[in-house]
Amino acid sequence: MEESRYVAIPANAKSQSLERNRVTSEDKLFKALVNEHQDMVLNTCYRFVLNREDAEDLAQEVFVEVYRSLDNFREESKLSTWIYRIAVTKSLDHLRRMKRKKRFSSLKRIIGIDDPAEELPSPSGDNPEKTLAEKEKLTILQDALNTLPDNQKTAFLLSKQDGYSNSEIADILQTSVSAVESLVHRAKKNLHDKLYTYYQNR
Amino acid sequence: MKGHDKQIEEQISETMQMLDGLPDLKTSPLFRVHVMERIDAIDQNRLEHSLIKGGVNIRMALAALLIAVNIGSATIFLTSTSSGKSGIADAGDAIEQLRDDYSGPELAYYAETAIVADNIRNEQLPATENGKP
Repeated sequence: MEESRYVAIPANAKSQSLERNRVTSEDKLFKALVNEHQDMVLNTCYRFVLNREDAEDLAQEVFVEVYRSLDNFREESKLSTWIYRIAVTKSLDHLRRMKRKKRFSSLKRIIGIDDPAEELPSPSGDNPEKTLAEKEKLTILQDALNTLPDNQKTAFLLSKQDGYSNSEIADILQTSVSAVESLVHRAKKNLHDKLYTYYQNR
Repeated sequence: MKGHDKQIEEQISETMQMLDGLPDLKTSPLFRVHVMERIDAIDQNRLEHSLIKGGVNIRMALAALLIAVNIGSATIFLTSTSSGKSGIADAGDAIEQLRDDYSGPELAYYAETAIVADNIRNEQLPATENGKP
């Protein structure tokens, strides 16, 4: 009588149930990952692109990439480092794309096909004059940053963001802490020189 | 000149401070939903792409099979026509076999009637020859 309660579960039903459990636990893990790192990823991307919409779009791309490559994560570094490295790579790719686009739009301007929407300031902010001045400064800074080599740019921008220690930046860049310090120092110097030249010629 | 340099340094310092003054952004509450939507869209695209690719593969396989069948039948036809002598020999053999089949004892009626007709003709001929001279 007691034995009749134990009903044999078919093998495929068992495997389906295991598969479902695996998928559910993966989803839970991914949800936890997103919740834990979304703000850090968003702010990292924002430091690179200096635009909220682009940063949010990039942060989403980062987590899509994380979801797709989670099985390939080899645990050579911390999971957070791996995620931030993806964020940095995506941001640098975006900057390269923007550079190409900018080159193309300046070419369009030369031949007379100008898109007036490109030059419109963002309507946010109470004081339009101040907003415009800040936007101009950000553009100048971004242009100067874009002339830096990728490793200098990354080290400098990450050092400016709260939450990244030099050792974590070193892990992201897969280099040593002293190399990071050197990169940050050189980036600051180069940036200063570029800005000096810019303001001197203005 | 020094004043100009100082002004430039101030401008540089203000520009550099822009980075320090960047606000700490917070993701929207729907951030994860948007990420999952993107993942679903990519999966859907991949599925459609694989289905299309599969359809193309089946079509390609059928086309290859059709070509192979055509080439095979053409090869058989060409080899049979190029070796003409053997074809004629085969035809001769076939005729010979047919002759053997139809001259068998089962079809002897035709042969017997022919022999009887010959015999009658032979009997009549000497009689006319004997009567005339």
